[in-house]
Amino acid sequence: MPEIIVDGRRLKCEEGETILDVCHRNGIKVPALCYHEAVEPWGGCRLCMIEISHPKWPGWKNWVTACLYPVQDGLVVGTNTSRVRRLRATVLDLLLARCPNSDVIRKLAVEYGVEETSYQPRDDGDNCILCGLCVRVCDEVIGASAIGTAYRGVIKEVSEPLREPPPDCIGCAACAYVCPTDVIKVLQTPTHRVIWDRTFEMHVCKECGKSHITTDQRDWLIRKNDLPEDYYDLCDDCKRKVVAATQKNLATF
Amino acid sequence: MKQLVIRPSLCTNCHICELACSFKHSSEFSLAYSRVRTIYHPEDELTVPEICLQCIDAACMAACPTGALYLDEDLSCVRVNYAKCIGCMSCVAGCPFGNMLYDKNKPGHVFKCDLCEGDPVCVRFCPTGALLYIEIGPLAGRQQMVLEEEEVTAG
Repeated sequence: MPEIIVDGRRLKCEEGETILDVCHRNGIKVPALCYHEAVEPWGGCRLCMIEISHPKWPGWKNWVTACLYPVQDGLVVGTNTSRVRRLRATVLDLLLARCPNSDVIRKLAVEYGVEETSYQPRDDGDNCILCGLCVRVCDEVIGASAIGTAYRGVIKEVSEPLREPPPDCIGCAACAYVCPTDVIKVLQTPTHRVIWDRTFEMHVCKECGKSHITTDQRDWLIRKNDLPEDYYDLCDDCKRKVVAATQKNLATF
Repeated sequence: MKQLVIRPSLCTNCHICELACSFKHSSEFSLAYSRVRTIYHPEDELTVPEICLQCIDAACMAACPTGALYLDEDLSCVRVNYAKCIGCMSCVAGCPFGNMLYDKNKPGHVFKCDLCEGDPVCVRFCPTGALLYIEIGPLAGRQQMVLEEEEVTAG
């Protein structure tokens, strides 16, 4: 079993896991915006940069993303050295120029000593940092691939195909939930949900009209788990009432 | 293996379990954040507290697309790994007993009974003993009782 030294602490690791996994498990704070345990690591936001060295590389150091770098025995890791802090400050300086209105980015930037960006802040953009979490969750977890990135370079953006309401979207709103800067807007009413410019009908409870999921998500779940058509007919409140009525009869029996 | 057992005939619908649970988990006295929900049946004057049954082969676990719900073998408790949750609400819709709950003010934030790491506050605060956390063997309460009766009659 490999062992690494993180900020002077000797930590045991599993074969094949990444340095960020080890840090998170041991409560060592490493900032990361494009990382989510539900999807494969991507190394997009560059905020989890760390310093590594090894007794076998005398005089050598390297700066890598913790989310992608696999552990190897004897690795010496610094998660908060001055060079690491400088690297993160540079990234945050750039991110702040891209999203000057994002509270998440601003708070993180202040932590690394960046009060104001040294670049020309973008004044027409949203708070998207192009971390791709929404796209990866939709592809890897839901399997819908309803959204993707469009264009390249400075005009790159997350978009529906052809900028039309995405036909493959099931309206689960997982993309909005995982978005680190809360860019994706969901308009929710008891009967409808609007996301990515597409209006979804909510699957309402047969008894009380409450809803949790869209009809498209219901169909997706029924298909995926091979369930009967009426499985999702009741909401959580009404299901509890049914169970309580059964248990009441057991109690008075 | 310890299990949470309800005894509806002793429940007085005082809501203390709900308040204790909500305060323990969200530092707020709000029934909306409680993991236990009491349901009153006026015709029988009987209240049934509803809590997660901690199914071994749970429907919420099967519904979760990321594996964020997992079985804690030590406590025999289904728990949420929030680092893996993507807030799709499949578990809330999937639980056949309606015991997977969610925060109405935070879209996608789900929660469920976690047995308070083995010391449930609802049980500690229940004034009548309608909620018990006791050693009960491999089967759930009612089944266990029926089994014992059969063993007695057979013996």
